[in-house]
Amino acid sequence: MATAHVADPAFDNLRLELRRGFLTLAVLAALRTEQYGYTLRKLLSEHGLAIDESTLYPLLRRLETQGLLISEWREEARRNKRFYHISEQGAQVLAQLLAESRSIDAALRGILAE
Amino acid sequence: MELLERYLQAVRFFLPKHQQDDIVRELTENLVSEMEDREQACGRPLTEDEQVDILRRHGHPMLVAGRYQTRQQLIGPAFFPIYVFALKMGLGASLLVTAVLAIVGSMLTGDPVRHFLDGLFAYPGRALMVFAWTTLSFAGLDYAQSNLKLGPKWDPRTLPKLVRREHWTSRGHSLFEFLITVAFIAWLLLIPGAPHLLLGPAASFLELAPVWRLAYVPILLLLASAAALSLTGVLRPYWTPARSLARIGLRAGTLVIVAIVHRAGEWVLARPAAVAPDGVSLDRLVDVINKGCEVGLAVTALIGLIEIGREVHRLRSRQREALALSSAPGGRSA
Repeated sequence: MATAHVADPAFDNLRLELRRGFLTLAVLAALRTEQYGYTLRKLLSEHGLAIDESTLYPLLRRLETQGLLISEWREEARRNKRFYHISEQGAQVLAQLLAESRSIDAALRGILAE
Repeated sequence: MELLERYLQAVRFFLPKHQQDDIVRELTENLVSEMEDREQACGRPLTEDEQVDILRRHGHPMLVAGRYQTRQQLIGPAFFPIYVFALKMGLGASLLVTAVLAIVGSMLTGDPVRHFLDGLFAYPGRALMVFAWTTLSFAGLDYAQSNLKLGPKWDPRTLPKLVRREHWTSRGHSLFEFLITVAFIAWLLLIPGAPHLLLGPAASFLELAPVWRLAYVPILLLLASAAALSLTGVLRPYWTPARSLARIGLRAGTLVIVAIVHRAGEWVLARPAAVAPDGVSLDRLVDVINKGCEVGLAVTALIGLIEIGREVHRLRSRQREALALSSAPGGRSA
């Protein structure tokens, strides 16, 4: 659920930091199914995780350099597009990151319940 | 689509050469897909304003290209505070050197005011050089650190020993001492070629006694050691027994030099066949200056003795404190 917030530089910076890790997680999760840049951005946006093009495309390249994604140029609708999907190593890292995320979430809930 | 092509051309300009084609090709596809999507939704071609809106949201070409660079900053946050400190020190030192050179330069020439101002105007150029070299050095250090992955290899056992709060010394004081000593060395180095820097207008009829030639190099060495000791205080601003001993050694060295110089009995001589200004007796003038030198040497020796006494007292009292702390239950290091 989105919450209304006042513009505050400190909040904006912290929110950016918080989102950065989750966006990587979301990109890896979304690319269990093959996508190209624009459709991936639309998919993330439809699920409430809007991300700038100038952030997403370099992120895809970084993840590919790290061996977590695989890309290939292929023709679709009479145009060449670069399709990305998660690699085997990427799938393992995604599983580890999801476990880490659940553990952090559980810890946070515990702290907030006190 | 002309706007899109202009946009991609601008992005290409800022991209690394070996990635230009690949990145621009991918960006083209993504942006064209987005524009086509919007056109389908509107049921008509996009207006120029709508294309501008898409490209504006995509980001300025320079920023978009910048995100593809592996290296996003010249000096990372780990080195930045040390970089700022080094820059401040470098700019301060260069200001002092400029001031000293301007003063010395103005004393060596016939038009002191103009030469002094010319000397001062050299500061922006020097400051720029200090800024450039410091920035380049730290950028190189940061690059090496991030590429060689030196970070995790550091050993906490190489950290300086625990220092008690009261043993910290003023970094500013040490820096001031260092800069003054360096300026003094520079002045001393100029004296053989320009004796009027010491004797003033009297250099035309007076000269230094031979004993100063004997003492010249030892004085320079002593000052260089003092500068090195002050610099140590800037880099590691706390008291240590070794530094106290070094200070005692330097003061003792000063006393030895003073004793040797004092034994000479005369420190300034009249130049052969020199003529003093009207109404001045040259012998009388030499006598007065030598008396002044004798007093100066005595005062220097006295200050040296007082400093040695102070340093010995500090050394002994701190050694007693350390002994008391280490013998107390749960004693800590000094």
